[in-house]
Amino acid sequence: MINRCWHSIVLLCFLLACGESKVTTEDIAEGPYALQTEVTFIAGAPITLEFSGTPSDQLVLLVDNAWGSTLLAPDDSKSVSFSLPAALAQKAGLSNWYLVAGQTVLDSGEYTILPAKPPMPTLETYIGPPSIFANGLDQSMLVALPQDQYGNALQDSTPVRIRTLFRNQQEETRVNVNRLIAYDYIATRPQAGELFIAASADTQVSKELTVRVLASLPTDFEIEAIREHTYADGNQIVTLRTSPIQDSNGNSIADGTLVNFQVKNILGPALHAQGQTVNGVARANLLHPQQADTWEVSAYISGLAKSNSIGLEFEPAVADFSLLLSGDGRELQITSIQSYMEQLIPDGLTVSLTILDAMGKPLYTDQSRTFAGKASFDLTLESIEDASVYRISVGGVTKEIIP
Amino acid sequence: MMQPKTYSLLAFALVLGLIFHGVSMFFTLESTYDALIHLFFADHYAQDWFEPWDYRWYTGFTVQSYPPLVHQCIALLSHVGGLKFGLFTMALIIVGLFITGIYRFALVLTSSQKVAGYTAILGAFSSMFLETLHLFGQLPSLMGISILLHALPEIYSWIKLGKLRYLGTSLSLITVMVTSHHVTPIFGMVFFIFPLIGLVLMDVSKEKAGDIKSITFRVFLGEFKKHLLRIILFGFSSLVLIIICILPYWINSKNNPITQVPIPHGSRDNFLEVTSSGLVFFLIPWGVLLLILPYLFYRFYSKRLLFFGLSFSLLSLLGTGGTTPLPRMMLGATAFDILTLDRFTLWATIMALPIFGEFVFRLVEGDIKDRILGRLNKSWYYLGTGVLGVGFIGMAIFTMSLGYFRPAQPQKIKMLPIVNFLNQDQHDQWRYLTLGFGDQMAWLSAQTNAMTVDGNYHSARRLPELTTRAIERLENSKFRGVEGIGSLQQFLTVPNKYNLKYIFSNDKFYDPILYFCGWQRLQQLENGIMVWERLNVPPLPKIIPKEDVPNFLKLMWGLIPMGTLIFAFICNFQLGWLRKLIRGKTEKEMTFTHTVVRNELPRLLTRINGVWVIVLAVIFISSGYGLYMDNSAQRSPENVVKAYYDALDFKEFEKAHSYIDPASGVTIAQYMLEVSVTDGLLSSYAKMDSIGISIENLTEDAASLKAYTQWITPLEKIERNYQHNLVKREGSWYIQPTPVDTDIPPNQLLVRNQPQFFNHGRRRITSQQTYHEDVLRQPILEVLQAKLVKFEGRYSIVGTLQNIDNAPADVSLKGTLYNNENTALAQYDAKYHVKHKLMPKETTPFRIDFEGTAWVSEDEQAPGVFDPDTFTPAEFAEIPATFDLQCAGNVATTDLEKSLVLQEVSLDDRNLNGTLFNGGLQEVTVPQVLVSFYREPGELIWVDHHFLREGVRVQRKQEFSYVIPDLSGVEVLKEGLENCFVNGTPNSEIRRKYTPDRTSDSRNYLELMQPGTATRYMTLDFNSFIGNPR
Repeated sequence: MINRCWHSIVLLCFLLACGESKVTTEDIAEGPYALQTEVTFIAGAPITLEFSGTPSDQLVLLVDNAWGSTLLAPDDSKSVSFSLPAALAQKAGLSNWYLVAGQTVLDSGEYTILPAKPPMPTLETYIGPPSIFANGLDQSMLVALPQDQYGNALQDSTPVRIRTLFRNQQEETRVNVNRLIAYDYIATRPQAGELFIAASADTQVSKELTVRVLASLPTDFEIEAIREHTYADGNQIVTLRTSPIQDSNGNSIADGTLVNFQVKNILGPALHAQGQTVNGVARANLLHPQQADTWEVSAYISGLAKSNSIGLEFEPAVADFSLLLSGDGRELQITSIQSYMEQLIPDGLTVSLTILDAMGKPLYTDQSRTFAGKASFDLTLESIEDASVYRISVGGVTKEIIP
Repeated sequence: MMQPKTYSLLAFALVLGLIFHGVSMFFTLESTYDALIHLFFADHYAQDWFEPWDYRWYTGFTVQSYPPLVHQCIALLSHVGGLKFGLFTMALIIVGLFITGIYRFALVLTSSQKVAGYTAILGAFSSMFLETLHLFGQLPSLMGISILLHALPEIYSWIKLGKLRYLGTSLSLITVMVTSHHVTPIFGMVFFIFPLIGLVLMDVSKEKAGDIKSITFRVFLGEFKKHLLRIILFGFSSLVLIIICILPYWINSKNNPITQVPIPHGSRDNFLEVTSSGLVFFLIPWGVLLLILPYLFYRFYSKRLLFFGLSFSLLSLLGTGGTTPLPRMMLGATAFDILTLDRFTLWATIMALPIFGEFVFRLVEGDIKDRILGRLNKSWYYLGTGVLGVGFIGMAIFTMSLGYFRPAQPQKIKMLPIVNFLNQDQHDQWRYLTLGFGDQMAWLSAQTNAMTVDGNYHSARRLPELTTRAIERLENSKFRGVEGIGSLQQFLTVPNKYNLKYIFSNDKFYDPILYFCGWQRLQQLENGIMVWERLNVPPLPKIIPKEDVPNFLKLMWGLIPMGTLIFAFICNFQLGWLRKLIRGKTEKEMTFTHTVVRNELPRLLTRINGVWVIVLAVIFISSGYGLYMDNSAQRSPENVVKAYYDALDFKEFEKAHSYIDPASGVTIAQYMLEVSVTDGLLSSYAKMDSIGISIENLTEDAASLKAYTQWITPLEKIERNYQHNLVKREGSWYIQPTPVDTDIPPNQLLVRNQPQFFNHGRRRITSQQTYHEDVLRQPILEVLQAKLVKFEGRYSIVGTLQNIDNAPADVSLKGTLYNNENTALAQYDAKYHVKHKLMPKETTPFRIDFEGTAWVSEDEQAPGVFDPDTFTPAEFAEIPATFDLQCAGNVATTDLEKSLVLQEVSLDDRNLNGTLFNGGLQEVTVPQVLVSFYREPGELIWVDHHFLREGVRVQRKQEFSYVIPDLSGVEVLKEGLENCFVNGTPNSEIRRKYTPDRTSDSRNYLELMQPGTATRYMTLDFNSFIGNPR
């Protein structure tokens, strides 16, 4: 606060002082004045604008270029010459000058500064998008800005060489600078891969630019199923696998592309799995069903590609089992659940119990899982008086026992 | 005079107190509720003394919302040895001020320097002081009350003697008090200074009447008239000073009145119902004072202290909070809901300290000792004093240890890694949020210039999302039930609105909600804090709005508080020393001429107090026994089941196992194994809310019962019923173990090929903006269909979206509703009803709901129970007619697990039962099912979601069941893709350019058998949250 106050006071004093000194100059510059020098220069070279006429300390030169306006005082009191400071002399382009004395413009004109030579060693370039699809339509755009060492854009029609390398094959095109920039479209390629691009103008070269050409949309494909056996044991894995999926140009589609596998079983649409492609091949793992079934498997990539449909048959794994009701009727045991080679069925197969009344109406259902070929139901809590049949179903095989 | 001896008592109290508090506060102060908040304020002043606006909390708030003196002192000291040095030094100064203050106050009340000495010792270790300092960390409040205590003798002297010097010292202390704490002077006036005036008048009346008994009302009134001018002069000038000294505070309070929904505070609870609040806000502060409560009242209602008696009674009553309806009636509902009532108990106990000191003095070396010794033998005397002494010491130790045994704060977090994270890579250009930090978030804020949407001074909250809900901080929202999680999820779903990009999570509990709101884990810092990040959030603008105040207020705020401190120092210390130096000796004015009470302990009082102690003992023992009976787990079937779930809730598995029937043969090893293989929403992210038990069968030694449990998870409230069989063995009940899943996976060793992705971020190590060529192209998405639908009175946008690019995409979806005149009505982002991460060519259904800020209108009652699912639909003044959809894709490299398989499914008219199988290599902690409903294949009308309570382990199955909603009320208001945009490009342009030959979906649809609705098909999609990615 206080600091700011001091600033204001000092500034005010300064302004007052300045104001007074200005009034004193009285002698008036006399014309005519004429520019004696060339009006075309090279950026960076020393530039002096000399005028014929009487020197006067009242003369100033107002220089107007694209960056702003500047007032210059004469170099000395003996001649009417003005040297442009580096900030003005290095900026290429058209400038206007006005020779001014007091409020009067004595003369005016313009001069041009051309870009310097040699140019900047590196060529400023931009490219985008950095990845395009191999679909025959997509393209990327390269923009180059050739500049001299002071950052002035090179003149229009300066040629820019654009070279591309794709699959070890070089191509070259030329474009000209037009309104400060040079640009070109990089067309996509039918194959996927990395496209290397370089641009140069005169001795000025760009860095290495890359555009990745990506595989385009997938096309229809085939699927197959891999399984160790054909029994419905609810334990083994079925692997569904696609053929290598390609786009219309034969490129392997992007890694990670999501393929949906779907299965219709006897009861209708049921199973659904997803797989991500690696080198065009997607896999998904499903469990074998728990009872004999017929699968119709197909796969698709949403709205873009689909596969053939294949059928899979599963044979029943469970051949037979025994039911045993304990003496007090409180425990129902399911024993010797054997599989297709008379081995114990792998642990975890679902065993379902349905208790039916005399009319065959289900009263109660429960599920259990097998352990060491056995399963049991505790019937103590379900004191169901009018139960007439216990129905047990394992792996598609159903048996009944009357309590 | 016995001056040397009594001063030595004060010196003794000071030495002991300073050593005790000075050492112990290094272990307590930083984990108190408030200390770190004051530290943050101090940091503000240390950075910019005069600027009241701080951007770091609540999208900006003004520090003129809290009196600054303590903060500014810490800030000044921080330039010497850092912020914490300032904090501890200030705390030590306050301890000194309190001990000397209570000494001087006791001198006023009892006129005995010896009693005052006793009071100082007792005050230094009294449980209420320990609690306020070491548990609550309320430094400004303690500073305020200490200064008030110092002011009381000065005010007494001014009114009694009328010397202007005392008016000066009184007022100088009042100004320090008001710049320290704003509530203390307001209530201090009423509860301390008014009774003090009464006391002075009593004393002068007594001097006039010659005897306390002969004071009549007429004499009293006469003295009142005589001293009225002094009283008015003091009262008026202190009022003016209270207003002027913190004028910016009052102006700010007027401009930003506290219109927030009150935040529940334990001190307003019914202490008999909420016993924990009773302990913290009643038992601990009162401590052993409770034992001599009848004595305290007897003494306070003696004629001389009558006015203090009234004040003391009122304070004690107000301090009981919601136990009786009286405090609410007296304060009015508004004040009751804003004030924290524990301060009344604090003042009551402070007021009682001198009387306690007097009692102890009389017991140790006064008439009570003589009387006990005269009537009973020495052993009884030692027993009595011993009980009191042990009680006092015990309370002090108990209070100090409370923060250790029941920590109110999470473990101390090392902040440096977080500070470094915020400083690197321009991470501080976004706002951040902390979760599970407790009050340590204030310490983090003090160390960084990065901003958070949250904050720790709830009176300064500004966003309506916060002020309309009774939550202190987003940070601990899980403890605030529905309102907490409700507020939090609004910030998580629409982070763009607040430029919120980073979340530091110290609590796994929030992981699922973060994931399903579209956040992703970025990295785990070396202090164990997980950083979550949201893509597609714009950085903070360079210029952030602030509320400016006139310069003179800034100057007042910066200069007056310190000025009052210096002025008070000169008045009270400097001048005293000067006088001493010049004259060699001060003339002692005999202001406090009242004599110590002796030999007036009526028999009745002794008896009443004796009965009172016995009653207290009985209550104490019986409630202890009740607690034991409730907690003795295996006494009944209900208790053992409750104890079992309690143990599970707190993950005390060894304890839980001890309730399992030993005869079942389940060893602890086996049990731990079974527990360790269960993961999922219920077992890893749930907190038990309530449990109800109904016994179905009970015999002498067996029982079967059903446990109805309710669990709170970050995503939804879960109700679960369990059936248990119990047996009684040797007098104790045990639970029969439930059968374990016997399913056995087919393979021992699995191998999978799966693509993995990595994004460099920036390839060059540079502090500049990321280089042009390092910026990845945003993945191209395509909206396949979008519809504005109305269902059950709510508007939603549903549709499907596909990632048609070759890179995995993180998806942000923002929907806006417009009326017929194209005026925007509401805007919201997709929350749970979308897969936020899409692999190349993957599709997702989505639904955007438009949520309003809950409980904005005052007559709406916030539900008292927790329900994270609670949804407040946005209010529409007009009917939405059309919509637009802005989708943005960003390259995602994490959370790309898509290995859930729908293994079985069956449908009836209302239920869908299915089995999921995990075919991948990561355990899916929280599986989510997205259910899409169609009228015709491909014609989507509604999207719903369902979280599975259990996780799916690798190569294993998990059943789920979903209740199909009645969708007959779904109304499609508008459909079409013309206003859908992807990364700013029209969707039609994308279709024309990239997928002109799109074919229809080849998907199999599940056929619904819902009679009476046009909804005929459904499909299922899956989303998996992996809690512990490997």
